[in-house]
Amino acid sequence: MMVTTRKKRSTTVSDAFNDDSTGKRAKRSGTSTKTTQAESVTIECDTTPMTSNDLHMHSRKLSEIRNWLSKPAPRGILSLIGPPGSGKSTAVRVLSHELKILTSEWLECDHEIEDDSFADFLHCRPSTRTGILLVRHLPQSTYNDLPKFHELLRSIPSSSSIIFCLPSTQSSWHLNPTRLFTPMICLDLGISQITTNPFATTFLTKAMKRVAGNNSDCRDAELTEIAKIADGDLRKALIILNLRLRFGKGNAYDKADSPISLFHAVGRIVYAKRAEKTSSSWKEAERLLNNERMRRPQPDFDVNLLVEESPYDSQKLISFVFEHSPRFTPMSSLHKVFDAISLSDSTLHVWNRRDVFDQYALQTVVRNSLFYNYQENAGESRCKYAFTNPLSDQLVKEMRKLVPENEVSMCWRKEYYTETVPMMSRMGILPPSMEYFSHNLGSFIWLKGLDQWKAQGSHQIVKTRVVEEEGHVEFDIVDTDDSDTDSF
Amino acid sequence: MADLKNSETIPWVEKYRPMLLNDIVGNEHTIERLKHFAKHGNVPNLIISGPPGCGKTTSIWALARELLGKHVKEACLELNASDDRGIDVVRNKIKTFAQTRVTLPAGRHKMIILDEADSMTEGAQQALRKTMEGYSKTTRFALACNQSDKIIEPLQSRCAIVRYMKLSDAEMLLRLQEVAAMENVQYDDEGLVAILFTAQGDMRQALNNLQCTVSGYGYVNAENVYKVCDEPHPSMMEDMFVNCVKGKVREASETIHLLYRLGYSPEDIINTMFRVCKVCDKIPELLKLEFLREIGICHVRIVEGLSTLVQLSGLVAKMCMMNEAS
Repeated sequence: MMVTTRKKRSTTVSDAFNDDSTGKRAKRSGTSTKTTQAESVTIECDTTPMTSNDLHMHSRKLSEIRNWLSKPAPRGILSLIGPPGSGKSTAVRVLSHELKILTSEWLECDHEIEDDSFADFLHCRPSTRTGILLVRHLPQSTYNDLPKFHELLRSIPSSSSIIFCLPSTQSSWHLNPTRLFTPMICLDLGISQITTNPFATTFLTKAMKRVAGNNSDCRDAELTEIAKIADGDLRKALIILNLRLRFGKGNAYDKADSPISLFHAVGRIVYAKRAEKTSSSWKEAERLLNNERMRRPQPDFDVNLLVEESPYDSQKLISFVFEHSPRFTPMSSLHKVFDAISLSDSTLHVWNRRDVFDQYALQTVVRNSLFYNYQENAGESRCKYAFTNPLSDQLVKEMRKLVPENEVSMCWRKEYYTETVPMMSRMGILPPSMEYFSHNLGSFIWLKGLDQWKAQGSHQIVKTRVVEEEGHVEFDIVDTDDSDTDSF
Repeated sequence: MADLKNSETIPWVEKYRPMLLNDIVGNEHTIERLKHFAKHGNVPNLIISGPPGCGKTTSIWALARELLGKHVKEACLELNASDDRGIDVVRNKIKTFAQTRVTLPAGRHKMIILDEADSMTEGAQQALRKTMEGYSKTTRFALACNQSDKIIEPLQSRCAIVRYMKLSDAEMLLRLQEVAAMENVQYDDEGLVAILFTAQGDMRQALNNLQCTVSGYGYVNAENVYKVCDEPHPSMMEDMFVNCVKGKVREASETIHLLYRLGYSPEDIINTMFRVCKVCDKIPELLKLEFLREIGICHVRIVEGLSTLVQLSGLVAKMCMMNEAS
């Protein structure tokens, strides 16, 4: 990979391209800079993937990138967007090396106040016709001035080949690359788009196995455990693996870091399990309640402990409760739980004082859910339930299958599905087919009665995630294997 | 009586701040991991998340001290929220530090500690990602924050995340007793319990409250602690809630009026209300959740500026009606 460290004006970039001799600031393609490697601290350099065989990305995504790279120049613009640690940069590096394509990366210069150097960089023409420009960091000014950036994109000559390789950031809309590369802009300028997905657990495990080598004492089960904690992020997985190899199991990671405990937290809240024995002080307090039917036995766990020690963002926890509670809460009191969630969302979500009010929001939701989900003799009616990631993820996946390649359509938005989905799951049916659903968006769901729904659904394959087993009283939380994360 | 001169000059929080990882109270498992880092070097970039006062910054400094030894002065940089941490600072200050040459033993790196990293602007965090990559050979970052979710994902992906829990009452008590013994503080058990209640798992606050009580009154008992910390007494609150449950609106509002007349601000009153309500075991479950909800709504109003006695009285009246309405 060729790297240009820019200290002065744009001349440096063009120099780097024209000057084939070994400039100090420009290295020839092939001697890779191992950016990814340097980050993962001490995993030895020779474990960096050097050939595409060593890449553990989903083969379809890999070939998508390869196809774009092996197009004859000029290739135009590619926006390669995906979560951090999903192998974007590494794939580009390895593939361009294999295809003998010269890449030139934009490295932010030190002083970029009112500087056109970024524009100059994008406008410059690689001397070898096949070379590509790679942008992994955008200058800050880009995020602040979108129209200017779009103007810049428009002005890029058609003869260029540029890859924008940017991490998607869920937590920050300001930095979100989808804000920069909107569907309209991409359609307008003919920008190709490839989105990488988080690594599936199986792929992560495979990649780690290669890095750990045969002589380590790391068992497969342990690698899977690490993969689960890393949650699809290979870079993170390697950091943890590295610690594991150096310090042994107990010192590398905590089981509490694993996302499964989020499911456990949600499980506790929605199952509303009560203790076998109710303490006398609890009974005494309950006796003060006038309405006898509303008295409850003591819960199985300490609510305050759960709320205060939850390492998760309260909004996230609440959104999980929101999505799963229709399955647990009796229909008659579902509105109470939703009421609490709605309140916590609207009133108790005071952004600038969230340290205080997050506690209120969580307390309200958890306690309401706990109280109203309680059913006497719940044992018989409660079934085994497999917790999933929010249902919307699944739907978005199915939905994408239906979208023809490269077709940009504004109505394929997650929000349409997430708003209706929780109620649909209560009915125990999913739409007959996603295609039907999306063509009749909006009108379809609510204008029809449940009867018609059922008639519609009965001759279709009805998919429910509830595994009912008669007489199975104990609750059991199974996290679904996300090994198909990458398989669509 | 404590040595007044001493207790007035140095805050006990600083005086008794543990210097070694071994001395840090609580979170044994996590500290154990940090000890391994200290022993073997080659620390990854770290994100340390946990509630305030659980020893995040203290343990990073202890780690840095054990890692860097005598070089710690020149090889460690701390920036906290009070420093200006815009993009330019990340660019310049951090870069300058990252570029300076310090001779360190193999496997040791310069360290940059960013306290309260979740309050950095997103742009600055983004710029940090670049710096982190660029200087990974010489410099390690340790980001302390209250919630790791508030750090942008690209940074999370590049760091090992270490989580801290709130200190348990037992762990806090242990340390408080140690400090009290070293300072010759006279106390009774009720007093220490009161300090634990006011601190809510925050070691920093616990020590501050202890020191304040000592320098103010000399003797640490519950009454003095609540006087110094200027918080309504929790037992008064508990009585008020019992009255609310029984629907005795007159008695319940009397408590609120009294507290208000004593000069407590409505925000103090409502804060204590929330804290007492969630742990009080004399409220039936249904009423407790309704109470918490109403307290929350009222608290929002107070924060928005409507901090009047009318709001508090309204809240109490509402709570008194709830048992009837159930």
